[in-house]
Amino acid sequence: MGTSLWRTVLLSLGIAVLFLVGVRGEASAATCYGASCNWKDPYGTSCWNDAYYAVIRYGPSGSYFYNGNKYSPGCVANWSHTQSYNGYAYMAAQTAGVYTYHGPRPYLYVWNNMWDGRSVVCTRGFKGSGYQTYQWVTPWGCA
Amino acid sequence: MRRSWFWLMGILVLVGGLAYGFAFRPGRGYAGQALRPEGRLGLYGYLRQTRPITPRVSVQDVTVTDDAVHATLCITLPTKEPWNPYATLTVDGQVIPNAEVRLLDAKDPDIMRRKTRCYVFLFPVKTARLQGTQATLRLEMLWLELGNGYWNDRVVAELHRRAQVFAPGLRFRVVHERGKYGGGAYLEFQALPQGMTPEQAVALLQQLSRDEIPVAWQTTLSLK
Repeated sequence: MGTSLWRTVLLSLGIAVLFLVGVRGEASAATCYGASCNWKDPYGTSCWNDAYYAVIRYGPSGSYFYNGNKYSPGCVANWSHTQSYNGYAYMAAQTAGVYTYHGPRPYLYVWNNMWDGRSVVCTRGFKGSGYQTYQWVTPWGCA
Repeated sequence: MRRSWFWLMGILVLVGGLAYGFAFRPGRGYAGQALRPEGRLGLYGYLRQTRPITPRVSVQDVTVTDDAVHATLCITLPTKEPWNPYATLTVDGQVIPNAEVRLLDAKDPDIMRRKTRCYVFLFPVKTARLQGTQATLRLEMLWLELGNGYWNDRVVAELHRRAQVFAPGLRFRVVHERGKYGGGAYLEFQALPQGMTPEQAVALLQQLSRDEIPVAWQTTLSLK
């Protein structure tokens, strides 16, 4: 009886430890950190889930779009997010000195790959009527 | 044997409680929090709240340059979610929307754990002829994108729920396409209500993906 009880307790504690380690691992494990995020697509990563706008730059009057400098505190990485708010549009998301993603078709929003957020990262966005044919651009937003 | 089961159940309850508390501790998963259909303050509905809120706002700094007015406001937000403020500056009867909104201390790891955050608003305006003029700085609204702007499965489920009020039968899925340096998203419609075009459906869903709270706060600035 006593052995059975202790076996049950030990087994339960073991399961508890494994479960908590698993939960903690899932909650805190970032996809990448700082420079290791360079060139990585944030889509489907932990960075994507906790990101917020560090800066928003609106397009000119009548353009109905903005560019957000997205920042993930878990990954310490920035990227560029361009969003249209009057339907689909050809858009681009650019990070200064690194890369530009040009949407090959009209989208709701576009984003580009991440860059090390330990230093200042500047982003801007484009919107237009065709692939790489842009009428509007936002100023740089740096964070 | 009965005592064993008693202990086992007790431990399982304890472990379950700890795991639940850990998984849903404050500050984790802003995207998920944004998807609650009704919040403590009733702010999460897809309908724009009609009565404006009056958050605590303090003006930290106003800087006037030749071609812009920069105003720093600290705002106590209704929740800890990543709300975005939107402000205007009225000068000489002209309403100038903010062209840039910058979150101060944006890279502070605890910034989203605080309800009071400070923002620098930039209003592009030629100020040379406005010396000494009074301007009205107005915080117009706070807005929040479901899923922090990314239409994941949970956002799509919430959008389907919201859309049933305005466009019953609307069914869609979101396609995320990835390219060499990034990606983009578009919608594929599986069913559209009679008389609704895909363009109208896109516009409706864009509206429904964003919560907006009108704000009643303004102050007068002297442009020196």
